[in-house]
Amino acid sequence: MTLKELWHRLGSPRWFYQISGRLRLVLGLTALVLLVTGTVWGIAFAPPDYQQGNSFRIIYVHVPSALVAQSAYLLMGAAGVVLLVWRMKLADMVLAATVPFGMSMTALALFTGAAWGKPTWGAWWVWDARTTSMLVLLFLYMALYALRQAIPRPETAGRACAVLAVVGVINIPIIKYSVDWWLTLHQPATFRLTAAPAMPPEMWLPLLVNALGVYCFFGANLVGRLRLEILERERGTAWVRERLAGGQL
Amino acid sequence: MPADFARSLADFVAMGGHGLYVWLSYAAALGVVLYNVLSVRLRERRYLREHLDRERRHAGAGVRDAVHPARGVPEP
Repeated sequence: MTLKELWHRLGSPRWFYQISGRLRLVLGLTALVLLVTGTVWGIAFAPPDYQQGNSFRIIYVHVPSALVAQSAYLLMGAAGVVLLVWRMKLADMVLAATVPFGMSMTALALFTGAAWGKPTWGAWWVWDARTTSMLVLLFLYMALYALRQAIPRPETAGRACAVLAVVGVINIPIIKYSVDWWLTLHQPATFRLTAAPAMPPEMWLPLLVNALGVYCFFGANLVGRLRLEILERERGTAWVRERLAGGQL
Repeated sequence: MPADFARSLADFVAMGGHGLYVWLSYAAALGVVLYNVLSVRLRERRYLREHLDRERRHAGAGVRDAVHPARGVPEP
């Protein structure tokens, strides 16, 4: 299959439903293995930090959730562009299906940041550039959720959400570079493409495992939610009735 | 158990005095994972139940529409 053919096929929710069942299973099982491994490794086997002691173990939840929350937003921005330019149905479904996951991961990143800030900085919350821009991300997710609920016509709602998602992408580089542009309490990035991590491998390897795990989890969850979006939008059509004739999704 | 937690389970739970913050974070993570898994599962179950109800109504429609059991007249 050429890329162009794939692009055209993605316009067909029915085709996506047919191929995605196994993909979801593989991603879900991979996520389970990676997340259990990374979490047990991080919480029980990684050495404590020489300055922060054991509170640094929050990193194994905090960094993966913050990374995937931003990636999920970037995906929505891309889906927004695809929807506005090509009117692809699947793009609108991606836009709708990513919001609950992204919102919950942003909330988790903020919560674990607070739980890490208290023993490290002495405060649950500081109005630091990184924390504030992350809070803006949470508000963007909430706005996208509310906007879709508020507009009754699905096509209008989809286009409005696409515009908001695309405009909101400006916040992502602000989050990323906030620790370099401004003087922040928040420490700089753990992983950089251009340099080796400052931590020893026995500390950053579990982090890498959990980060990969949470991306697989995102993939599995997104596919699961997309399949539901497809079923709900194609309710009662011949292929859905045929597909569900066995009494299973 | 690794070297630094080898002495006791209590040391592991206490996390050198940071236990509250560490365990709160991991509990929240578990909560978020469960929310994402269960919200999809529950929606799937509801969808399937509604679908099967609809199919059953479709199947029974021919019989029931002829004479309504309660009113004895065709349904609109």
